[in-house]
Amino acid sequence: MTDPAPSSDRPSVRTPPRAPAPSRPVRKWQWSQVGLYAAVVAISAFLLFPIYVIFLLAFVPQKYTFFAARPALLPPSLTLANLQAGLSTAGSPFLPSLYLSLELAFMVGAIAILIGIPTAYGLSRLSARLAYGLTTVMFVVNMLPSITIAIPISVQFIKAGLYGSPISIALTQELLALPITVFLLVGAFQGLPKDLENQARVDGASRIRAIFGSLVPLIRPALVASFLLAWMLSWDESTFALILYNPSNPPLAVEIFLSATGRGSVIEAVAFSFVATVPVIILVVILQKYLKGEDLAVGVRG
Amino acid sequence: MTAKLEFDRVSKSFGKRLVADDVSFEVNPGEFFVILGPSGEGKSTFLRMVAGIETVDSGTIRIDGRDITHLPPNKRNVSMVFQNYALYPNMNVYRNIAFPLKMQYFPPEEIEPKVRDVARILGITEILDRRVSQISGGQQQRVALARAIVRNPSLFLLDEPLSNLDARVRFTARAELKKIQRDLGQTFLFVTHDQKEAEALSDRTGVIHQGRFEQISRFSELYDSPQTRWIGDFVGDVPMNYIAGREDGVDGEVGFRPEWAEVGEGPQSATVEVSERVGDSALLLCSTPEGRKVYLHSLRSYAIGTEVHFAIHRRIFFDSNGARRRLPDEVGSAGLPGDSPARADAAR
Amino acid sequence: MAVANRQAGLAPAPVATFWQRHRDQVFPFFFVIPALIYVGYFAFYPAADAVYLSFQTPIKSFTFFNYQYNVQQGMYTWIENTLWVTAGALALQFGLALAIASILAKQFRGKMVFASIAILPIGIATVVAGIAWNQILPGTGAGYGNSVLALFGASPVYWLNTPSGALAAVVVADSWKNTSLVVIILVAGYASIPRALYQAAAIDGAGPLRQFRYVTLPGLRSYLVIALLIRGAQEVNIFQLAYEMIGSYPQLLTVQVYDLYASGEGVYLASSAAAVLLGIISIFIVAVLVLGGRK
Repeated sequence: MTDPAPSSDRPSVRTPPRAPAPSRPVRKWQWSQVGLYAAVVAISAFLLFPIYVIFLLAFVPQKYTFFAARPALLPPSLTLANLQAGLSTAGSPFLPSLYLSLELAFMVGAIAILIGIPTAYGLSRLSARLAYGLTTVMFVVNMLPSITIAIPISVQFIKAGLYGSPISIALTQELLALPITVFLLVGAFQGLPKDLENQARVDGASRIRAIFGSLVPLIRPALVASFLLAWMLSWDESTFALILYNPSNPPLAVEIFLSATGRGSVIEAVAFSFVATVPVIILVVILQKYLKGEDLAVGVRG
Repeated sequence: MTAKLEFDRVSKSFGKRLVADDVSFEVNPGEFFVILGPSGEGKSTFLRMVAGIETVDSGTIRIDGRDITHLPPNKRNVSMVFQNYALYPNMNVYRNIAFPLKMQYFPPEEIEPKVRDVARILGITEILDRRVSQISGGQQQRVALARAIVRNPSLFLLDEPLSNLDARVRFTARAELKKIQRDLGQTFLFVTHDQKEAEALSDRTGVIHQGRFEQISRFSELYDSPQTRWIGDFVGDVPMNYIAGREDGVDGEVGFRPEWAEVGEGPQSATVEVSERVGDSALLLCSTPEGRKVYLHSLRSYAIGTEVHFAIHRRIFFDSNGARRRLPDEVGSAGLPGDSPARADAAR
Repeated sequence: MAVANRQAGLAPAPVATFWQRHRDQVFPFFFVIPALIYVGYFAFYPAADAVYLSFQTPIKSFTFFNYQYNVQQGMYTWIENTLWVTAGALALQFGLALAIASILAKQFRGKMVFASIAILPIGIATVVAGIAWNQILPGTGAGYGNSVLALFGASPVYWLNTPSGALAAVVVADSWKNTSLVVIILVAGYASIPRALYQAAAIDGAGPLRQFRYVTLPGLRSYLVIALLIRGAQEVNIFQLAYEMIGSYPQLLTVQVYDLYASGEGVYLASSAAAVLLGIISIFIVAVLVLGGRK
């Protein structure tokens, strides 16, 4: 707009006048942005609050939490006494419960993969209508009330003498894990190159070798995600466990449930809860990168 | 071993769609046989039936006299190269090639020399340890070929293996493929929709239409001596010309290739619609008084709307079913004497 | 050589057997059978068994006695409570999940952090969530919820003292935990809507609200149906959380089933309540499938 001041030893060059620069908004924040961040903060606060409460319950002396008329929102002090008290009470069932829950979770995860792979392979090769129908059946299973099923199942297990055994609980919890596992794995199989299995067969592989040699190695991410999901579902599960557990050795979730509803001390329940929650939060963060939108969309459209 | 392949009255449908209709044909040992046809006609299905990844509804398929119709694919001792090569993504090139040998339980010490040998033949020794996602399309095609060759099968099946390559690579790959087949001396069954490929590669070509082979012959015969109207239409850079005609008291069509007619003087006439220079001659698209479109070659170009005259020197007569009438003097090679104008005139 | 020909009059070509012709369509079915057997034995058979048992008593073999008895005890109220909780929780979860999913459809700083937070509650075991929410919304005037209210100067609320308050508390706690699942499904749904549709709508003059109504909602439809099916059924089945927070007052159907079973009054009464539960879910599934069109 203004010409550069001509200096005496340079010939003055007239630059053509430039158009005025477009005006920018002076404030960087616009209302929609403010609204967005406000919503994000509010929702995050709501979602994080109960987790924070657990933290408080675990690490703040009880007089400020359970016994306070107005529990403090910021920790006045921190202590490990709660955890110590909860985890080491004489005769505490903590460690056996932990082991049992671990055992159950790994069993449920393993069974999910063992049954899930052939089932998902079969579904991915069947005609679309048939696969759709069978998948619907599996999802209906997910919707049956656990309470309703648990009672007759427990009767059966009592008759078979398996009542209370870990395998009986694991097999029942599997009902929750299998449909979602099959869903994920079918999507994974369908995403594989079409003629890969055919090529392996023509190359001389039997069906089983073709599937496990050429297809399964390629769906490893989905296998991991399914295993982790099944693991978490079992770890969290307390309805089936509640009906089917052996009173002398309850899984962790049941132990927490019973303590929280009066059979034991709440502080015990909180301590157990804390231990039960930490591994799962880690797993959720790991899982987050597997559960991206596109992977799920495949199964929905199928 | 080089094998003979027989189809004996093979039929297959997908639901209502008849993909193979009582088809019988033979591929001779050591022959490069191309199955040619428009896209979607089910050419690949023939290949897949031989491989065993598609079932057969009725009929028999035999390799060297052995009935393989319902054998599982891993017991047929054939090799197959798919259109997208189907290389195993989680293995490197070496293990891809070694896979068929591994499936037959060859010990590693025997596998290695065979793999290296084949890699040398195809010029891919340097990429043996690369992952398949890191090599080019042309290299992938050669790996797929190496994998097919390494187990020395009796029959090679190739499903449009060149169509995923860019044009330039495709040209050289085509020549290499022909050479490999000659060197190996094996029987190749090759499927494509590309006429140029069929022309360059095949010993014989079978053209598929509506579930049957319209014609099986050397490619040159498809062009010079089509046995049905449809073949004349399908084969060639431009379709065969057809005008109404009558022969031996039968109504039908007279078919002729552009180069079988001479523009200038003659009993036929047509109006020029499009004129395109090709080299130092011209290709004309003209419209006959009855409304038929004909392609003609001429030494000079003509303005649109000009009426040109032409004489047909060689023609083939098709009856109203599209089948070729077997006239005593038309047996099927090029180089027949042209008809006299008087005879052409009788076709009215 | 020979062109294919119709050999009329000759014997027909050897026809393949059914198995030979359909081998590739039938074979995969065998892979699915173990799962079907498992599901049949562990889910459908017990469900049928529960219905069967519900019509039995120690003395008679087919009677409505169990149902009549339960109605006397207040089954209609149990059903009503269950339906209120279901409706309230679904409304809250879907509203919140739609908001979260549409936020996640935009780009902004800290999006990944927010996404992790959004699905964090999945990792908290239900029983653990129950403990936390019991401390947030207890029946006494204490609790962290009241502490938060005190920040704003409001007086303490006795959350669980009224039936509706108690049910509301359960709704909030349950929605806290389960919104994440709906979020995951809806995020997948958002990802499936092409950006170009929004741009076209904007060019046609639609503002954000109308874009939501005419582009987003139709695009999300099948995802909403799936989420509704999964969550709705799970919602009717709500048990642990309710039992932990409000016990038997007010009574939900699932809690009642457990009480009847645990108290030793017999499998039959429990089965009758359980069968009613099953019936509600079946109606719900059919309704959603019909209203939502295809799955």
